[in-house]
Amino acid sequence: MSVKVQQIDTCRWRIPREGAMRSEGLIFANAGMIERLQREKALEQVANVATLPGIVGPSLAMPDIHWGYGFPIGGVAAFDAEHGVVSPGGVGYDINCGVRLLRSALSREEIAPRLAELADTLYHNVPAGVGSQRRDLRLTLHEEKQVLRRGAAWAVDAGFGSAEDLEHIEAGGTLPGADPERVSERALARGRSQLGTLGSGNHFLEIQHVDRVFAADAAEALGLYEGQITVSIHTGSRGLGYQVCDDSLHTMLQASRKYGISLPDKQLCCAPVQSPEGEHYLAAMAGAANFAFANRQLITAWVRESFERVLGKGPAELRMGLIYDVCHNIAKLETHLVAGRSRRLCVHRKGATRAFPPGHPETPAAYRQIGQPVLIPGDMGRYSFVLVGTPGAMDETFGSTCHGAGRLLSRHAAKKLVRGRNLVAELAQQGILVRATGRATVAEEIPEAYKDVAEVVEVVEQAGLGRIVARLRPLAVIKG
Amino acid sequence: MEHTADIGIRCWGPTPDELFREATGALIEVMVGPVCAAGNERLCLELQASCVEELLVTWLNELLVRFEIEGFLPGEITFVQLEEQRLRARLSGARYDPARWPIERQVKAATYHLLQVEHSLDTWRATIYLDL
Repeated sequence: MSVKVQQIDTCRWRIPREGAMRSEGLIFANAGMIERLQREKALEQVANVATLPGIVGPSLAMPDIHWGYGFPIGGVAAFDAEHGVVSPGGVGYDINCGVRLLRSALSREEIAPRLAELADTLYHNVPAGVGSQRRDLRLTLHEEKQVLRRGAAWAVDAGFGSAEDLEHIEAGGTLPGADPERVSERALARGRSQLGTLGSGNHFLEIQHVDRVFAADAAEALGLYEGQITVSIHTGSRGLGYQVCDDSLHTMLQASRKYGISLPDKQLCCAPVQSPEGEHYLAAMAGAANFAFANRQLITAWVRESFERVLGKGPAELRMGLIYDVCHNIAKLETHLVAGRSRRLCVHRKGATRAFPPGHPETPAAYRQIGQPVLIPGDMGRYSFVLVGTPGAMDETFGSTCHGAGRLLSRHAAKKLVRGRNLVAELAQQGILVRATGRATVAEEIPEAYKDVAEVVEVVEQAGLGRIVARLRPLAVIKG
Repeated sequence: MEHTADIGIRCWGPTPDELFREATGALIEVMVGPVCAAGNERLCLELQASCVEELLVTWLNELLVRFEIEGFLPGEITFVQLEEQRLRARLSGARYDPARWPIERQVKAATYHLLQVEHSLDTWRATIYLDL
């Protein structure tokens, strides 16, 4: 299917409403990005999402948009909470996949002589790759259900981190409405051994340094300055989330038939938000999201421990406070102003980040003047960005922005490109240490496989969907 | 098959049984490479779905979970019954040994995206996308 795209301005493109579409599509991208998108199915996916019942406003796509399954990656869609639908495909298998960023009181020069030891210690202490787990963490079923109910708050009570961390996590690290009884035994079984694990694929743990500050006021509020060491953690709800999604898809395929919802792609199966199936999914999804918050909280504790051990410094000296933790695969019930009217919506962010503006009540008190921090990882060879939310995002994208660089090459094309090259050695020459378990992971995750994330955040800033605060460059990357 | 973020598999065979075996082989190849997992582990599966496409996804996801939770890597597969909405299968295979078969990449799930199973007179074909 070829999809018509009309240019609105330098960073906005419209897919006009036609056929079964209930609203139009709106894509934030530059001309080069749109040209590349014509060669894959992502634009068609934006149009497909617009056919779902109860969609409010356009079917949106951020500049890191690429071909996903069902929803495009980088897709945002809001549905009326009373008359609209919720779709597990609009969240994805890795429920509450997200990113968190820790600051430190360390400088690049200070850790340079110990960088390899730090990378090795993190690789040892934080389980990465398929099947790896910490032997000292064993959950009973009762404890696992508490994790699902309470998320990062469970982890803090179990001794992993502090109450202050919770203030700097989206939703305080606990999504309300989670019901572990709505999560299947199989999902619980998959999750039990995977709490506190990084996983594989594009998930990572990265030691970085702040190489440039773009907005001094916001950087100061976030406690960021040039030359400073930071740590990023990118992971999600692991097998538990995948199973919650898969279980829900079975139910939603039947529900779509039951409610007479016609689907352009089965992966978009859905049910009314206010139906037994919709409510069931949202309660299970919130449980998986809380599992992911707890997962990142545990990893944070082990990162801090690793730094303390290698550098022989205490927490007061290292000051590895949590800057923020964002979800980028989630559906949330939120209130937004639509055409001057306050409306309750089910906002799906599939590879998109919430970006609430200054003054928003859900922005932590410490950041209320600057807006909610937004963490945008790039690839392992270039850089990542820290942004803050803006009023423009509230006006146009239900308070959402991009989530990363977005893939440019397929995994196959990436592997072909690196044949005969020693990537780990190449990156080491650039001053980036890589520790990885999966044979294919490094090859498939090469920097060239991704768009330049700088191009993505430029479009975001130009469109008013976020303000660039700082750029972080990788020094050591741990991958599954 | 090319996909920007994930992997698509296209497989075919003269019978539905063969098609399901080919799809299984492709899934294993994506995860651990082209291995022949002969062993003494045994498994019996009985699955249901609304149509043959959904049955194929259900089958692949069942094997993914068995691999993840029990470390079961299928080798020989005998379909006792394989119809549009239902299958019964006997599997033999090996307990997964990471030293012998290092993981290539983790598959989160077989998806319903652009899922297709079609058949002509002598060939069954399927297209399935895996979420990585």
